[in-house]
Amino acid sequence: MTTNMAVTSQPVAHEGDLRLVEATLAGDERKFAEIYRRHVAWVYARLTRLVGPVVERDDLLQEIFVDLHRALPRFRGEARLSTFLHRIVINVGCEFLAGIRRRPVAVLSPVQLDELIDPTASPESRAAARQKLARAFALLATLKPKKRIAFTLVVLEGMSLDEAANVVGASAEAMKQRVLHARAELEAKMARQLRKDAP
Amino acid sequence: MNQPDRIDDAFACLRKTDAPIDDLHSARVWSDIDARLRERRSRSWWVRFAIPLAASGSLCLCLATWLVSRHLGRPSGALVAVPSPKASLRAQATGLAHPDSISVIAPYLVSGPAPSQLLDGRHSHLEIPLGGLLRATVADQARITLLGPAELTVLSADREAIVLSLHHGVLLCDYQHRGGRSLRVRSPGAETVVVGTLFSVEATGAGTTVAVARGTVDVVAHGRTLQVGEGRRLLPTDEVPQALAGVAAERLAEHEAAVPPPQGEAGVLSVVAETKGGPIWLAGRLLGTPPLAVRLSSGPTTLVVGGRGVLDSAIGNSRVRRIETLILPGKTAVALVGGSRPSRPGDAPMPGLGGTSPHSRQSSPLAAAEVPSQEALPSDAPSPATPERDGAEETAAMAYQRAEAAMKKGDNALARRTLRTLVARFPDGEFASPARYEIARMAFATGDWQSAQREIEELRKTPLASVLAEPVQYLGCRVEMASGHRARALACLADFRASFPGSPHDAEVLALLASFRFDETCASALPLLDEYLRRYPQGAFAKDAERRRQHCPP
Repeated sequence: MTTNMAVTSQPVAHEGDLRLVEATLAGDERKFAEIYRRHVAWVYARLTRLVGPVVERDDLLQEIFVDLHRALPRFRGEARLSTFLHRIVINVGCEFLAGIRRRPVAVLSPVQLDELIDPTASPESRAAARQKLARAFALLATLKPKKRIAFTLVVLEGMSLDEAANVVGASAEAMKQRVLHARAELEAKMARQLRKDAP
Repeated sequence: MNQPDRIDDAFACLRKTDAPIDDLHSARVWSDIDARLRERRSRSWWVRFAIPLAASGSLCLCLATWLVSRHLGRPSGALVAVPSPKASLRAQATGLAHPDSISVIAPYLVSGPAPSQLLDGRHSHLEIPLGGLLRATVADQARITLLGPAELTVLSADREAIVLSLHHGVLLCDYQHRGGRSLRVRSPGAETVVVGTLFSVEATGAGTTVAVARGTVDVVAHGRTLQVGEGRRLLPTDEVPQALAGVAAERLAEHEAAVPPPQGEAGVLSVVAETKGGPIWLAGRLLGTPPLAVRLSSGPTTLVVGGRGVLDSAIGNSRVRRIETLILPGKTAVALVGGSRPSRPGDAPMPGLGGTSPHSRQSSPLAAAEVPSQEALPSDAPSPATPERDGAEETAAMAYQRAEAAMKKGDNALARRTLRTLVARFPDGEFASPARYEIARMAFATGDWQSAQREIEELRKTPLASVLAEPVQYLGCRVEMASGHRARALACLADFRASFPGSPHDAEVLALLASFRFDETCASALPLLDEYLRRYPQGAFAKDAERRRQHCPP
């Protein structure tokens, strides 16, 4: 039987991360497991918002933490570990999104979408939420990876342009342009869809 | 609504979502990460450099041998190493394939007498005995099912085409056209040229039968080319294709609904039948009838084992069990199903998971496994009168069997009472949902819409096994229709089609939707009528659909 982890989906506080990183680098691999336990919930949530509830998420999650382990010697504690990790999430997600653009888009199944819906909601609201999510992910899938990431960070996660630029490793101006372009593309697509659906 | 509002509204649902990860899921991912980190740590310099060097050396040697043998005009017997980015270094060093690269068939499921060894590696020739079934991918572009007795050979596989030879047997295939590569199937008296479609080829002594469920294929036979379109079938004696129906259509539908090939790392699950059991379902997809062995994406999974009637979704008359297990990459798990259940708590437990079998060549213990059975049922549940049992406390399984027996005898009142008692005593047990469904179905049959609706509402509050979700939603839609909630029924039917596109009730649901829409406007009904006629030309509603279609102006 499974039980929900008592962990938050928000990035955890910085305190203690540096100590854990130092211990891992000193050879105590159990401390890396501790890092994983502290951060996995929010990484999973961010990853899901970034790439959608796709079946490859577990592979990506693995990739992220293996990349983190590989990159730990470069972490000097100047930024928070969560920011450092967020960059890896973005890189892995971006690479995945670029890959799936070259393949036919897999339609998200109701089971995949149900994971993101409140299980206590009424059947009607669950069905409505499922439709909305499917539509939102389908719209996001039409964006190029960089624009999708910028849109996700700024519009969906509510990060400032500077914060998002810091995570992505781009300038704030570039982020702004990406978000604006993403918005314009989405708006055009939604308008087209509305026209198509109109009787 | 202005632009920001519209976008905010469309994506508000995503802002609120937070995908949770439970501890089992998290632990499983960690075990994979840990294994990868250990592998990295344990790799010494010679593992990093010597094996790739040796592999490259042997590759060069083999290539040279092959080139020389080709140059001398001798038949090539050389083998070349084909490194896979996913394979471990050791596997890369030893993974050998034929130089013609025709070993493109990768089986992922075998059942019946087909040997489970076929799951190892890729093949260029397959022989399936009578009663056997094999599902495989071909060059990662096609998903095939071979029904035994059958023999299939890959003649060539290059960038332009994959050419298969079906000597005898039935081949069902779902081919995705990519990169300009087509698929050709040679069989006695015919060659089938495929661009991208769902079709079957049956080769017998009398010739070849080609059936197409989706797309179009060209069949070259007797010196001429015939096009077989969607929903058509060409028999060896036919001059023109006929409508697809009967066994061929059912086989294709079953092939389409079957469990897909694994993605990423996979383990093997062997399902061994103690007695002849019903079909096994995995996440809503048909897995097959045991004994079977299947490569599945690693991770926790739930098998639903059904008895009589599961295939036509009459789940209420079947015994349904769930087996939850964890598939580990590269390992073999064994589930034993279909045996008799222990009669009361304290008896020997059901032979379950983690045992060994002829399939478990790589046998390993499972990391986590669970077989819900009576032992897990609440011991402090109230004990109603159970006259059929002499003294022993009745379990949920026994009560369900008693209800089934009553239904068979036509005593619906007793069946309903027994099922209600079962639900009251074991509200969280595995039989509670099937029992509720059965109560709802009986209420619907007697015109008691309110009771049926109540039970369905209760069912919707609990997470349902995928095999039960489809009939529950279908029944829910019928109840909405019967009780006159037209708008809700329409929404329910549309949602049903979106949620269960391969449902056996699809024809009926499509017909109902078309009828509803026809009562509103022709324009809204026309696409549905067309779809019905295209997909189910022999369906019960086909004549009616054609008649209604003629009433609608184009």
